[in-house]
Amino acid sequence: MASLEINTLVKKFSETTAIDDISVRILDGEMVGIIGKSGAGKSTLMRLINRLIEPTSGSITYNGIEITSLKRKNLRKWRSKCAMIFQQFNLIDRLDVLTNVLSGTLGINFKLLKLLKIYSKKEKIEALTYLNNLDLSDKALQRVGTLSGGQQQRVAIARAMMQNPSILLADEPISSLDPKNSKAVMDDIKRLINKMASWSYVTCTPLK
Amino acid sequence: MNDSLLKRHTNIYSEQLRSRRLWNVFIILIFAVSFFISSSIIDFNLSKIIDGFPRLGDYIIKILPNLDASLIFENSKTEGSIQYWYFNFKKYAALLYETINMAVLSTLMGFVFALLFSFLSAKNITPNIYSYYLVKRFLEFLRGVPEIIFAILFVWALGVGPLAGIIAITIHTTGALGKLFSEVHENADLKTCEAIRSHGGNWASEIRYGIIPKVLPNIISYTLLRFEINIRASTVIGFVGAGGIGQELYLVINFNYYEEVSAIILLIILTVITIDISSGRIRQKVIGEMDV
Repeated sequence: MASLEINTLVKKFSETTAIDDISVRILDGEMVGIIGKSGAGKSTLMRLINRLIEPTSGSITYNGIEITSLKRKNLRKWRSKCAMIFQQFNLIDRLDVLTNVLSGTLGINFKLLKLLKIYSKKEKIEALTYLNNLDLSDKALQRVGTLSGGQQQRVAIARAMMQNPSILLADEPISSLDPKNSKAVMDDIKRLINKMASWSYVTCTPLK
Repeated sequence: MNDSLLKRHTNIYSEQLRSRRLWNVFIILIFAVSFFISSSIIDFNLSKIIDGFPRLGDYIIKILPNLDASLIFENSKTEGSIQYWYFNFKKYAALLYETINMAVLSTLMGFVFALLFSFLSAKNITPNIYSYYLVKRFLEFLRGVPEIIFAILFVWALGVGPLAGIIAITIHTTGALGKLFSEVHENADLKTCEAIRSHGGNWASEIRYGIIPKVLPNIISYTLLRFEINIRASTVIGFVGAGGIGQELYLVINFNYYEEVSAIILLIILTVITIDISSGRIRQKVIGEMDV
């Protein structure tokens, strides 16, 4: 069975040890929540899995493949397989909703034309379908910066889904939203991960 | 317990305040000393300025046109009319058009080169540290040499005419805008860049979607400012034979055609004002509305 394995992982930022010898095994189809105080290293762990930062020591494997030693093309391929959703959405504010969602395909299928915002018809239909599922299809051509927080996070979810990911990493996805929007976004995440062919879901939530 | 905490805090605060004040005094002193040193080196003294000012006034009075209020709208044969003052208007207009074209072309080309180099010379987004240092030094060289030197060089190599001026200003614009652009990138928030990287996007995608939409308003703003600067630069560069209205201005100054000097300078000032007003409008429109 496919699994994500983290073995004796350590991450140090000069004097501070953010991740201190963590080992965990996450199986396909599992949904794992990470709880901890602010500054406990939850986001660091997410970023280590996606390889946005490098570990000090330890290993991360997925289906037996060592993630920490991946380079260039293989690294980008891995990143596109494990989608990330951020607390502050990290969308392209000045661009429209549709282009933001389509930008999720930059890793799995890069073409020079995409730098001119030209995407294939198939990708556009896929993006619009996700937006429609999230009740955002009427906002497709609106600038992302003009949407509410809840709507922006749903755009980020649609962008993640465009990657057709095997793992979904959600870094405090609802902590900047109000209770009503939080529930809506969590429901959407649940609904969408059920559609993923093979998936693990890791989220982190601050300890309140 | 609370009292001692408060006391400790007050002590720390007053100590910090003292050191900050000392620093401020120190910085002001450095400024004052360097001002006196540099003014003694360049022989800066007030009496010289006061003596020289009337002479400046003499020249200004000399170049003023001899306009007569009752004849101001008469034809070009009547002395005292605007048409008489601007008898050479067609020629000036053609030369001014050439100067503006020089500025447009060199700003556009400089903008493209500067943008390309700026991504390599911004510390936070450069693909590797060697290209960062290499391009940064190269841009310093481009803007370190005054454009008039480049102009003299190219006039010598390519002959008298606007081409030499365009190349000279393009080189300088690339150096100057390249530095400003890379600093804009260095100040940009990299959250979106990180998101693109986390999807597996490559360096070009990070730049295109993570950086450009964020920095474009500032980049356009700097480019329009540079365009205004380049209008003046292409005028001055004409003095060494690099084409445009500057070449004509240099001629009339040397031949002491006083009224023509003021006619040309007034035209240049009006052009700069017009461009200043319109570029301000363009800037506001672009920053507010543009999709990138």
